[in-house]
Amino acid sequence: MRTSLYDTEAIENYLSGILTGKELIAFNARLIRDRHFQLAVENQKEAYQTIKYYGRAELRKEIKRVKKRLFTQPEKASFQQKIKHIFYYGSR
Amino acid sequence: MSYSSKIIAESLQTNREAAFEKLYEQSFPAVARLIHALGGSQLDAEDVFQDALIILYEKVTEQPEVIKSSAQSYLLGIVKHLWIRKFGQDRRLISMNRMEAGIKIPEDFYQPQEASLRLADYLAMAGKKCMALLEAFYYQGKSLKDIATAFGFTGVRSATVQKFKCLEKVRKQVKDKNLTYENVIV
Repeated sequence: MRTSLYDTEAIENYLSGILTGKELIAFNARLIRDRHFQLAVENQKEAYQTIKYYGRAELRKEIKRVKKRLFTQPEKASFQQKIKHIFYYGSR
Repeated sequence: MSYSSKIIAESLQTNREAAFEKLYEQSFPAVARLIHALGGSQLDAEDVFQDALIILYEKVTEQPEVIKSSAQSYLLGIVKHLWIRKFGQDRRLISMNRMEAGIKIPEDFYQPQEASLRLADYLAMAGKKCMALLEAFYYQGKSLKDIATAFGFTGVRSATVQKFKCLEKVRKQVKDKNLTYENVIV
């Protein structure tokens, strides 16, 4: 792996709280003296959040496909009727 | 016929879309009845239910043991919280049992839409395959072994290297975006 990938891995370990002992001390020392490294940590944190949002967006698409199938397929007629009843004729 | 969290966790890992179909068919009617009773429309019910499915999925992926009740009762509980948050409804009007009251909605679930929209753009820049890989690992919680097989890597080691390369791409996009943003403010 190239050096930067080791850094990326170290940042990941740091952010997930699994760096300990000497490694953690070295990491913290570098954080203090290396502004670029500090920024990389911040950005990587945001990158994970970004991936999470992306995951959610993809999942939402998938759920919408599921919904469309349930509301259009003839074999799901009883489900469709059930929902229609709730909103058009009140529940029960 | 309740769908226990263990089964959901398993089926959401193996065949996510089929599991969601089952969950949707089984649990949406109860949610629809609740939302209708609270004065909401079918569209409201669908929106809030879909959010609840996402939250359930994340909880099951991160910590399956958190969910002790059936998926349906848990979903109903999430829906109640979401309804109160979204429409500012008086929480005294919505009764919750202890299990429901204890449900925590993820803090980041109410971020402005805008953030996620811009995201989609720069995510596209890291490449579809990279995003799929990162998503499989970090969001779906798939193992590197499974990822190596699914993405055609020779082994866990090369999947790991690729994962970090992809992560660096996204990190770079974040950096560039933040730099542009700072320039705009100044």
